[in-house]
Amino acid sequence: MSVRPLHARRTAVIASTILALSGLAACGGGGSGSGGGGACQDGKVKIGALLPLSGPAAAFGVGLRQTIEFAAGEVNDAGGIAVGDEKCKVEIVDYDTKGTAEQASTGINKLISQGTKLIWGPNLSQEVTAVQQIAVRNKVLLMQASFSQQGLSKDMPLVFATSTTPSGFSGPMVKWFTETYPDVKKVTVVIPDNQGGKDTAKINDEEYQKAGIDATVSTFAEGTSDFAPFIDRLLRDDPGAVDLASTPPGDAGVIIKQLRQAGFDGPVGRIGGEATSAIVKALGGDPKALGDFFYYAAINTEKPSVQEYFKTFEEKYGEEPLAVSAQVLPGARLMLKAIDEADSLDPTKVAKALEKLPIDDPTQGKGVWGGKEFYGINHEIIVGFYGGRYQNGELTLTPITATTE
Amino acid sequence: MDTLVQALVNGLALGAQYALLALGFSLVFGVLGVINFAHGGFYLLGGYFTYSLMTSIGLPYVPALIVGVAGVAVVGYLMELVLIEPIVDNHEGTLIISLGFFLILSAVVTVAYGPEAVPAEFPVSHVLRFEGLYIPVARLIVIAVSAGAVVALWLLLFRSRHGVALRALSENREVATMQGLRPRVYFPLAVALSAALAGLAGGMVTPIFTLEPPVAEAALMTSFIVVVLGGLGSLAGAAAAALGVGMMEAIGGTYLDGSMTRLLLFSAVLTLLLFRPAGLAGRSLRDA
Amino acid sequence: MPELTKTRDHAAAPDAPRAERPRRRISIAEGAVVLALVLLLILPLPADNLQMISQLNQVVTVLASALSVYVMMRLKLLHFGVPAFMAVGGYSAALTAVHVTDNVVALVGVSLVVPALAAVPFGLITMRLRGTYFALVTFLIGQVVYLAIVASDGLGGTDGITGIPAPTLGGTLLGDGVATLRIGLAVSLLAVVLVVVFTMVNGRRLDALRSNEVLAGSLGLRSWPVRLAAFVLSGALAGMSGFLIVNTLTTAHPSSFSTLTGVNYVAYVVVGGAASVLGPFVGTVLLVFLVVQFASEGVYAGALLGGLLIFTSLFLQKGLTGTVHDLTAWVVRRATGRSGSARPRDDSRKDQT
Repeated sequence: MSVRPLHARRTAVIASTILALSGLAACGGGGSGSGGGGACQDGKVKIGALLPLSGPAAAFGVGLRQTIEFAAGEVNDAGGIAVGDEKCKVEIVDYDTKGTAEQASTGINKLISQGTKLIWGPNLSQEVTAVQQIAVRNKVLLMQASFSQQGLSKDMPLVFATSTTPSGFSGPMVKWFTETYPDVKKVTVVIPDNQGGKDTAKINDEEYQKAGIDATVSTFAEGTSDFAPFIDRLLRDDPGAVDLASTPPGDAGVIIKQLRQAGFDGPVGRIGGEATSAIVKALGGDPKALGDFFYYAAINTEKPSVQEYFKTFEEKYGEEPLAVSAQVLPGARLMLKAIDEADSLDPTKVAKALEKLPIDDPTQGKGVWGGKEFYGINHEIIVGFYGGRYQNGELTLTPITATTE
Repeated sequence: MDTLVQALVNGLALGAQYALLALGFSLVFGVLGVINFAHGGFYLLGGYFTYSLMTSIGLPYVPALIVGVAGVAVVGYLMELVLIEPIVDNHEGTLIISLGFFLILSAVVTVAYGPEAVPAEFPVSHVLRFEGLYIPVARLIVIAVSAGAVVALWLLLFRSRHGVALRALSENREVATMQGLRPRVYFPLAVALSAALAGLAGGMVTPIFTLEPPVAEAALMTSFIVVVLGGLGSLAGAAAAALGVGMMEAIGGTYLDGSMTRLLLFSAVLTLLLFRPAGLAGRSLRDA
Repeated sequence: MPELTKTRDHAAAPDAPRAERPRRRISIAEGAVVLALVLLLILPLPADNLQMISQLNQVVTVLASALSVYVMMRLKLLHFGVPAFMAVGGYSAALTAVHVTDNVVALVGVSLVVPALAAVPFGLITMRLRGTYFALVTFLIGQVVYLAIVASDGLGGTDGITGIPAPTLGGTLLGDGVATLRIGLAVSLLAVVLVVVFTMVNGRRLDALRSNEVLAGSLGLRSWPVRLAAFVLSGALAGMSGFLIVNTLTTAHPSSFSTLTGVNYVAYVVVGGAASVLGPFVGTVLLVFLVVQFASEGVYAGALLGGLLIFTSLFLQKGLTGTVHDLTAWVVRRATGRSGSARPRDDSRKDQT
């Protein structure tokens, strides 16, 4: 019985494993940056992009990435950000969360160890929940883009929201809705059966009830492709209007298509994040297919400054940007400006500077820091938005006063 | 009553597309013993190839669909030949390979077309209406084409020499090989055929609903549940199960909220497996 | 299948070169894994190296899930339903922590026992299924459990259970990063020990069933007790992993247990190898590390992982550990000029992936 070669083999395996493990530890150990105040890190300012760049939420994640890339590009073209006596170039450090809480949590830890303490993202509610405490413990600045109802709070002084959340837009939008459609007394709010859906629908539902409209929430299973049965169920309640809340654009397109096929001529709308151009695309490109469509227009696509942005982006990067990327431009630009104002990379100093910056964006226009009533802290960027209505393919945008709710 | 009839119509349409998907999936499983995780990817490619052909060279829908389906068949053929064939007897390995292939396919599609839905449109948008019922003509077309494809498949498998060869290989590979049937020739063809069916389903259905990268996963899950319900190795079982699943989803969706329909459907299938481990019409418990 | 009463291990194994020993000895590879975990558990860890702590934590969190897949792989069965049992374990622990007690031993115990019990009915369903059919069905089990969780408001529905208190031991609160990691290491160690003991005790039966179930049956070995036991153990292991995930995130959220993640755990074992616990260990460490590296590549990350899976399945069919094992054996044989004497040992590993 040859025992020795057996041991030799085994020893080789063990040795290599232990080596591998120590190698891993070494790799893991290779990144403990300070990220604190003072001048840049090797002439660079590192901004982390903690976003779902793949998976079902990729459409939003990719759009958000375009925003920070564009904002960084603007700043770099102008020479960079002045921190101390250096002029630093902005560098984006990506981490794909794949839309999961675990990867978001791993990602933020990785970014922090690499000295990246200014973070653009995350995007989904569960991602934000997963990283909040880590961000607080490590004094990391987060400019998050979620609709999570726990996304901001007094106990998280370094967390900001780059886009207006339902608590900011839902009330004013519903008010506009009642003025635009005074005869509608019953609304069904439609959402997918997941947390992103619930976050928005709950608030919309409350606002409709407050406005005296009979509202119900109807959910569909994630991954549904054929909505015909769902729509038959929906229409049995005989609603006056249907609100698609934060239903993803692909699904929203099908629902609208099939609602119209089923003979529903009433208003269908979406009081949720910016997705209208994606929906029109999903419907084949012709806005007439929308029928009477109302939506929360975070972006005024007719505005020259917005069209300018699309043009500039396309010229510079060779592809058309996703519409959602325009919505959050103010947040990205302000974040970079705050570094300049604070003259430091220390997240706490940047946060203080950020809070004080007025919101007057070249593309999106004027806005305010809001959110105190709902979240307890004014860290939510609320820019002027519109009630958008498509009728026969023609768009009317009504400006709605942004409230410091 | 109206609602129920409407639900039945919807169910029939759903069942027809599921049948195409499930038959392809079951075919590969029966002949090669491989669980093809890339099956949803073929469905996706069917949609994107058709869309591409229409938008880039202006081909009308029907020729675009035909060429697109042929393209997907080629992809399937190559996948089998290059990736699966070397280790075709290793069931776990081939599953992982097909999964890897699907991940690559998904990434390529997302890079090429973007993560948002593309404006794919079905050429017919007319809707028939009578007596409180509405039937989009598109769905009737899907039912008709799917039925036609199923019949063609049946003819191929039961009335042609190649079909006999495929069936022989799936029943007993050793004996079939001894009789001179070469798996090397037929396996890629089987996968190409399966891919064509999935591609056809994708090319027809995605313009009616929506065409974006995530739809591949839903198609795959549907294939799984239908094939498990219908029983492995049984094409009639797969077709019947497809119809059954379509009906259940349509009727359930019309009366139940959220994900309840799915939950009930899956639970029902699992319970069925307690008593009939081979599914409704499964042939045997042999390790395919 | 004819049911004979009582069989003895050595009579049931058709390919037993070590007939003189009734039980498998713990291999050095497995000992190495146990040792590595023990060392990491007791040695001081750099608390300020966030990335290392986080990555090690990620590894130990999912190691038990990889082991869960591994246990069924020893029977040549692909288990895609691991997320379902992770969810059962994770949610049970979450509910216990929120409503009953936050004692860490109780939480681990709950996360072990409840999924094990839940595995019994599902195990009975899958008992008569073979090969890849088993794989499909476990996928469906994963879906059913996920949907059931999302549908139950008592479990927080789509929001999950948030604000789970940190576990305690004695009077100490185990809430920070390093403590979480140590809990993970301890639980993983427990998982590895359970698996090693199980495979030691049942090694021959497992090998017999994996090689040729019909033959084994004709020799009197009933497959279903072993399969059920393996499935139940598999559930318990997954449950412990679920607890660790919930503990790391302090939230029990359905998205952590979606069915597609089950694919990852299978990948860890396929890439690492399924000859001993070293396989899933290596696979988990490597793939977790790679996923983090690839994550900076954005949309290409999926393609990179896909490419890796294809490469491993085509060229490293026994996984990394199996390939390294074969390579070193080849090298040693060439070096010492011996041949043949080592081969009987290899045969017992021949039909493993």
